[in-house]
Formats: sequence, structure tokens, C-alpha cells
Amino acid sequence: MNRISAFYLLIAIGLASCKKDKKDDPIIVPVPDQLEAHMVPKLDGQNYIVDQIITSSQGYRYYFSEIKILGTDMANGSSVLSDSYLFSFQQNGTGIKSVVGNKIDFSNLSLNIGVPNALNHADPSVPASTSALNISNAGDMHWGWNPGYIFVKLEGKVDTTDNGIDDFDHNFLFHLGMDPLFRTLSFNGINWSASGVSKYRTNLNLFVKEIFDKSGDEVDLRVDYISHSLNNQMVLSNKIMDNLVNSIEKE
Amino acid sequence: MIRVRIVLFISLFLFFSCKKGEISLVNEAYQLDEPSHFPKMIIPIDNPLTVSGVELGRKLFYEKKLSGDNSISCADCHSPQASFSDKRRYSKGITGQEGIRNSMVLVNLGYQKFFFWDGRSKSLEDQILQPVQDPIEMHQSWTNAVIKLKADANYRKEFYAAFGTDQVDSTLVAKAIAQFLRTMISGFSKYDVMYKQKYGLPLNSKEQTLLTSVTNEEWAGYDLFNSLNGGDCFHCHNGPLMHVELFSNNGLDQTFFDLGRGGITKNPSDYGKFKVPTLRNISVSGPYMHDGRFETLDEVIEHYSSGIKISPTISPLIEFANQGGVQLDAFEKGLIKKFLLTLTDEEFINNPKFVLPN
Repeated sequence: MNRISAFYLLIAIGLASCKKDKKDDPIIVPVPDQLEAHMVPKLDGQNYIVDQIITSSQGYRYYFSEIKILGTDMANGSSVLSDSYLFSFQQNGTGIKSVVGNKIDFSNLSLNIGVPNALNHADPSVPASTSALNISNAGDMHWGWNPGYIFVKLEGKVDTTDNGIDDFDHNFLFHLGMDPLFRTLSFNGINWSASGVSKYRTNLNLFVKEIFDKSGDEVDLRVDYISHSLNNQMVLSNKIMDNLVNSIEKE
Repeated sequence: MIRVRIVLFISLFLFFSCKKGEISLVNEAYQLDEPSHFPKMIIPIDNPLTVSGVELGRKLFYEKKLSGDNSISCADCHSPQASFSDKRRYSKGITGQEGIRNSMVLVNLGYQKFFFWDGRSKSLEDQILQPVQDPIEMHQSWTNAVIKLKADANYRKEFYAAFGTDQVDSTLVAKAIAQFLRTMISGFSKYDVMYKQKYGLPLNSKEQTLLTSVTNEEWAGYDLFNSLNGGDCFHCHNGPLMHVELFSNNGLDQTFFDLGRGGITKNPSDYGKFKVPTLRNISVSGPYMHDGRFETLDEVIEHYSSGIKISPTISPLIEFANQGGVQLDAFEKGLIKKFLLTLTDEEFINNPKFVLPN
């Protein structure tokens, strides 16, 4: 009888020793915040769209077909939101960065337009594949003729006839790079507004008309329509870069 | 004693009969040989490169069963000797009907983000799915193609080895071919060593040897290619991959028979724009342009020199469009051509890993 009991006991142990799915107590994992930074082109209080016609203060008309900004070091002091970003309006829309972070850490924000000298002329294949500076992401924002990055690309067309008929016959093209055109922007009191569950978004507004039409620093695209940031184009390039920097505001 | 043994046996049997995790398929990872001056290729998480997957993809690339009448494979329009493009202006499908575009080169595709001249596919896997079903290309439903492949016991084994299942479907076929295409990296040409030299990147002994063969005229051609007042080519063709991810109207026509990117986006400002192709191996990948209209490199250079046509969507990067092009003289055209020939990567073109498997 004892042997039979032992037999059943061993079978019971054997069965009980099988690994079963345990029902663990639910563990509440805090969901980290997702922070999204956007660059939102604006025209007359409305969102600007690619190819939307702008009338300059001088009366001629033009439009942007491309606005791209490559930058670095989005941070609040030692808290780094991202070491690089690419604003590519035509291809990617307004989003410039989406990262996991705590919005409290980024109540203030600084960012560079452009790439610091120490990185600007390095091998563009070296940055991590997720970095905007990696050549596969930077793409046409890296110069072949001048080892270094293009910080800002502004391209579009101008109607030089000024006769009320759409005749955008003239291209403009500004490829702004080179170390002297590196700029830093800082914003205090960044507003992170909820855009979903644990998602927060901040907008930096880019007032596109200010880029060429800033009062006192106008650029007449019918005359000054090109720059590759060469030495003899630096006055114009600096003016446009300064206008651009001043046309970006936090929302 | 016997009973004790029986009890122990039963206990052990029950213990080991418990369900454990499924046996995982051991599939050797494929080690991609990326040139040191290239960015790191981003491989999709759901399609990692494996030795068996790449080999299966290679076999499928040359598999004529993927066409409706078993007459053509991918390689028929993407020949290794033409840097995996087509020497014909327009490729022909199984019925003999021609398409309207020249077959693109298949080189360094793992670094690209858009596929086809109009960029309608955003992944290699998606791109691969399309020609099989296209009525003027391989003209076969994926259902039929898969039935043919599944009827082959070797394929069933190879799919099992690559993906852990013999349930072949179009997704797995596309994944296998995509794996193979990602291995097709071209990064050893004269241009590569010139690029590395220019950027101060270290050269190995083999590259040093190649560098010594670069002529002064080729260097001069490189300078002219990158000159704002010379060839002005670099806006669309630069970097280690020798192209940028853009859609561009490069002044071929005043009006558009083929809307290109505009046909996909339906945006008039995209009409007449096409994917900017890499210039790698351009000496063997003619004819040129999306419609193969230019037979020779001389014709291509002449187009950018004096043949530019203005249209509403012409790229602002064609800076000298209003004077018909960059206006090169005969000597300069010759230099540009010499530079373009430095982009030929003989090792890639003759790589035995890319040809029809035995």
C-alpha cells in the first residue's frame, strides 16, 4: 500500500514539476514621454505649404519648393534632446525630432543651425546610422565640392514678370553652409502641449516671409537669387542666415 | 526494486515530457562587407541577412519560374554585365511588349529609401513584389508563382533553411531577393579611392595601389565635376554612394509624356521629376535617363552642357538652365567623361557571388 502511495506521489510530483505559465501580478511600467519637436513654416498666420505663393513687400511673387535645415545639439544645458536633427519640409513635413524624454527637462531649449567646426569636415559616414549627420540621412545636405555640410537649403521660383500672370520663370537657390554661417538659437519657456497619451509636442514657428522680406534686410530675389556660400557670396549668405534665425520663434 | 525503477522512469518521463520552447532555427548571419567610407546599412528588423536567405534570394533572382511563361527572370532586365541594368532602351516582358522606362541599375540598393524611377516603393521588399505581377513585365500572379516554387522540393528545403518554414509565399520570396540585393555593394572603384583621399580617410594597401593609377586628367575631371562653374554635377551626384535621394526634373523635356514622380503624388510640381540615379558603374549601365534616350556618355554630357530644356518644374539645381546648360568646351567634356569612367567597379561587375548560381 505504501509503495502504491509512493508511486502516486512521485507521479504527482512529476506532473506538478512541469513548468506552467505563471500568472504574474501585473507590473506597472511607467510609460516614458515621447517628445516631438516641430518646425512649422507660417505665412500670414497660417501654416505654409510647399509651392504656396508669397507676395513680397516689393510686389513680386515667389514660392519655396524646398526648405531644409540641418542642425545639431538640441538641448537644455546638459540635458540633450538630440545631438542632430534634419528639417526637410518637402519630404518629411514639419517634424524635426521625436525622442523619448521628460518634458520637464526641456523647459528651455537651444539648438544649432549647422554643424560645429569640429564635426563639419569629418567623414560623414561615421555618425551613427540614426544621426541626421550620417551621409545616408544628410544626403544632399552634404557638399561634394567642399567637404562639409550644407546647413540650410532654400530653393524655389520667382515670377519676375510682375504682370499678374503666373510665370515663375526664375529659380532661386541658397545653399548656406561653411563655418562662418553656423548659428545658435535659444528659447526659454518652451511649451510642450499634450498631443496624445504620454506624447508632447512643441512647435518652433518659421515665418517664411521674414527670410527674404525682413524689414531693412530685404533680399530681392529677382537680383540676388543664388548663393553657395562662396567668399564673394558671404554678405548675402550671412544676411539670409540672420534673417532665418530671426524668423524662428517658439509657439 | 523493479517497482522503484518503474516509478523513477515514469517520473523522469513525465518531467521531460513537459512542453518547452520551440526549437529555434539556427541560421547563420550573413556578414555584410561594407566599404569603410560607406554609411552603415540599415537592415529591416523583420528581414535580417542570413547566409541561407541571401543564397536563396540569389537563386530566385535568376529564377524564370517567377514569370508567367517561365521565360524571364529578374536578371533578364538586370544583367550583371550592365551593373544589373538593361542594355536595351526599354526592357521587354514575356509577351515582347516594351515598358516605357529603362531598367535601373541594382547597386547599393540597401542604402536607398525610394525605389523605381518614380519612387513608388519605399522598401526593397515592396519593390520586388511589383514586376512579377506587372502585365508588361513578368505577368504572373503571385499565387501562380508560389505554386510553381512550392512544387519544387529543393525550394521548400531552402525556404525552410532560410525562414524556418516551407510555407512559401510572396512575402518570403521578396524577403529573400531583398537580402540578396542588399549584398550587392559596389564600393571599390577609382572614384572610391579618390573620394577617400579627398576626405583624408585611410587607404589600405590595395586602395593605395589603385590610387596610384588615377591619372591627372581623372583628378581634373573630378574637380570639374564638383565645380560650381564647371560641370556643376555634384548637387545631385555626390558622397560615397554617388547620388542623393532626390526626385528631379533635369531638363530633358518641355512637356512630359511620362509624369514620373508626379504620376505617383499627383502633384503638378512633381511632374517630370524622376529619382536621381547613382552614377556608379555608369560606363556599363547605358542607355541613360529614365527613358534610355541617350545611348552614350557623350550624349549625356552634351545634354547637361547645352541641351537643357526649361519647364515649370525644372530643378533649381540646374543652375545654368537659362543658357541651355553649363556650356562646357570639348576639353572639359572629355575630362568629365574620364572622371565618369573612374566610377566603374570591376570587382562588383565580375563578382562571382552575384552571378547565376550553379
